[in-house]
Amino acid sequence: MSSWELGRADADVLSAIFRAAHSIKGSSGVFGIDGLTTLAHAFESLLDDARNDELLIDQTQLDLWLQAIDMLQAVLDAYRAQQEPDWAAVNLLVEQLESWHKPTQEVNNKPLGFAEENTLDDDFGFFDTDFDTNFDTDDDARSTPLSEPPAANTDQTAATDEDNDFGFFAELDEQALIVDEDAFGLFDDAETTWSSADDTASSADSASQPSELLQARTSTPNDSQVGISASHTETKTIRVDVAKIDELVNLVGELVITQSMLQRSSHALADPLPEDHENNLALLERHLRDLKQVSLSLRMMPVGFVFERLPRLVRETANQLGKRVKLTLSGETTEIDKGMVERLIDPLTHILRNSVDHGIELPEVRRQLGKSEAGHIEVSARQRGSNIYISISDDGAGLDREKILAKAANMELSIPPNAPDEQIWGLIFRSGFSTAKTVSAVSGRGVGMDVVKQNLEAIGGSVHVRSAAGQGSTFELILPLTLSIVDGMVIACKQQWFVLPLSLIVETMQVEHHHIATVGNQAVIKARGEYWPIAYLGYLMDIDSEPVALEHALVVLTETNGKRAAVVVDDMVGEQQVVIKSLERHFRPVSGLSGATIMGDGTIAYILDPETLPDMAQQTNTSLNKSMLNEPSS
Amino acid sequence: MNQAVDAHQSTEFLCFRLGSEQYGLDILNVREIKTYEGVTPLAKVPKFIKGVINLRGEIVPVVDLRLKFEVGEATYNEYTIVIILQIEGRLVGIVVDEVSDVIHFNMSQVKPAPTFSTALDVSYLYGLGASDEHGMVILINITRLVTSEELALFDQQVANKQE
Repeated sequence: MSSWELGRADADVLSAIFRAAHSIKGSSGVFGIDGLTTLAHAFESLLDDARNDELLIDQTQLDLWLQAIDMLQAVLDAYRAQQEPDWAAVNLLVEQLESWHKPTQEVNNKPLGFAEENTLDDDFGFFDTDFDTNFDTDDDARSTPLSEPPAANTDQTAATDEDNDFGFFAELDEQALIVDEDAFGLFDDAETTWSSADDTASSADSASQPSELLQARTSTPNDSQVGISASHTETKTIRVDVAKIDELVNLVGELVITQSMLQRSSHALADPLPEDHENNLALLERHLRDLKQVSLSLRMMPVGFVFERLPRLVRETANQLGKRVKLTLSGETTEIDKGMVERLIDPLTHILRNSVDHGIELPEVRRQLGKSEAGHIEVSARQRGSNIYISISDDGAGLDREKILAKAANMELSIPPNAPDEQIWGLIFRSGFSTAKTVSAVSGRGVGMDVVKQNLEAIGGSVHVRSAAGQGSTFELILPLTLSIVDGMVIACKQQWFVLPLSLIVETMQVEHHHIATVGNQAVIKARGEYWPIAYLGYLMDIDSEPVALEHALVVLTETNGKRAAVVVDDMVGEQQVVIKSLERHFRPVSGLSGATIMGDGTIAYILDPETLPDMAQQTNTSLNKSMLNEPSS
Repeated sequence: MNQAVDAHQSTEFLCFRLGSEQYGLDILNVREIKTYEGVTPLAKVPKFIKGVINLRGEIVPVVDLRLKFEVGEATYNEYTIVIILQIEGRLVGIVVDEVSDVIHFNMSQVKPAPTFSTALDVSYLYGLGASDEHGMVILINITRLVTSEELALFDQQVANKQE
């Protein structure tokens, strides 16, 4: 329904919502959940008017309907928590809804009983023969529907719960009751082909049966007793335990390594190999590459799942602030790893709120500036190579360079006044940085952007800003395709290989005399206008008995979450995508490391953690003080 | 004997040698037996934690109990064995000098080990068993040993925080 903001009111969707309200009314009547029945009835009447073109669907209506949805959810939550719903609020809303309703419309508002065998869409497949048998066996559970908490977001155990739920109570979240896929499975088709039985993680298998039945019945509005119809593109899906998929991906990763080992040993036998042997090896490699591709894609979901809640967010924020904003979404079918979906929501939310709050100007201001009164925000996603790019672009006021510089001066950060824009924009991601004059409930507390950056970096991503005064800003999020693979730089200390996450590397350089300085009584590297604490990798990892000499050493500068380090290495091996293996699976966390990976030849390389490495280094460096002071310093 | 193997009247133990002594551990914990082929060392860990190995894609820690309990000499040659154990869903390898048979012990015949008589603390032991071929076998409660705080192989607190 939120998609209507964008001017795409759809008769099918409207009908679907009507039917949903109708069924809520019906089944709540069956179960005696009075709070829902009355409200749903009032809502349903309005919806019926709308679909019969007797009601103008405008902003006011949409707001009202959203309120109704929220209220339905609230009543449900109240019952679940075994509390009384706020009847005053419910009744008020019911009155409002009824005030819009044309009394001449007669909607079938008999509570639906088992005997009803209506044609078309009134029974939603509830009362066909399949279901009757379900009902019979569940007499007991049916009489006390709410005393057993519907196993909403957890793994379903009691089969009786699920059958009675009809999938209604499966995985309801804070968002609009109707938007939730699992509850109805009714809206999977209409606009987007990407949504269907949504995630593969939930094992609510029996609950999905009812919702799938509903889906089958109602997916084609005027088509009654036919089973699953093909008039809408309906993707058939199956729920799978995430652990199984992870295991599969793991095994495939192993196959890839085994295959490269096979190649190696084959060539050790005879070089060159007989032609058919060579061909077979090549064929194996190709198949495995495809297999890897497919298995990785199992965990992927369309980013649209994250996007779907954005229109509402933008509307509410805009309303709160008296601004008008038009939001366009694109690239919803771009797929990202399931694990990333959760982690994306907060950063996206925050950036959008910021855009509406600080970016988009008030309508009067915009008018004066010759801009359209409604601000425009565009959120788009696309995949390129092994990354996903998500950009949030607004046509607002852009970042205020002077304000940021002033704030930086306030915080006593030394920034040269003619620093490039990019560096200035980067400041907004510092902890405590907010140039908002007042702290509003929406944003401005100054704890947002730094957390956004951290959250993104935690999943191996990064964020970049482009902005032009008066024209607007663009935030670009770069994310790896999956959580378990990282783009890394392989480095070596003697024979041992390590990996540094590429996104946290600032620069690699060779240390010259003038780079070496002392701060406190520790040697540091002076570069890019900053001081970088030194981490002698070989020494820290017990490979070298002594730290190597600094002068002419090869150093990788890393920065994450405000922590900087100059990592001293022997060699740069090259860039590589590596599969992250956790050390904690069979062992425990090791400081300085964020995991390990298995290289093509089967050897283990540790993945360094640029955040804890400097701490580790500092502890060891302190004991190296004396020898450090003897080194030439500038 | 006060250790809980009460579910079984008799248990099968894999016998192995550390130094000059024979030890045994419950065969049900044994996942695999391999020759020692080197490890990738880890920094800043106790000496008895040798490092990790790549066990068909799993990163498995390897410990040398000879170092921890100062038994015998920690040599690594072509006869050195690593026993891969599966304990509470985790894998860990222990380095031993030699592996011998699987011996079936009747728990009622296992005698408690006198305190201070063995390199390992008696709290980690089921007791002493007698075998015809190998003489006295020190029967280890390997689960208790591996999950002990003393070995600190699994940092539960930190592990929980990471989640």
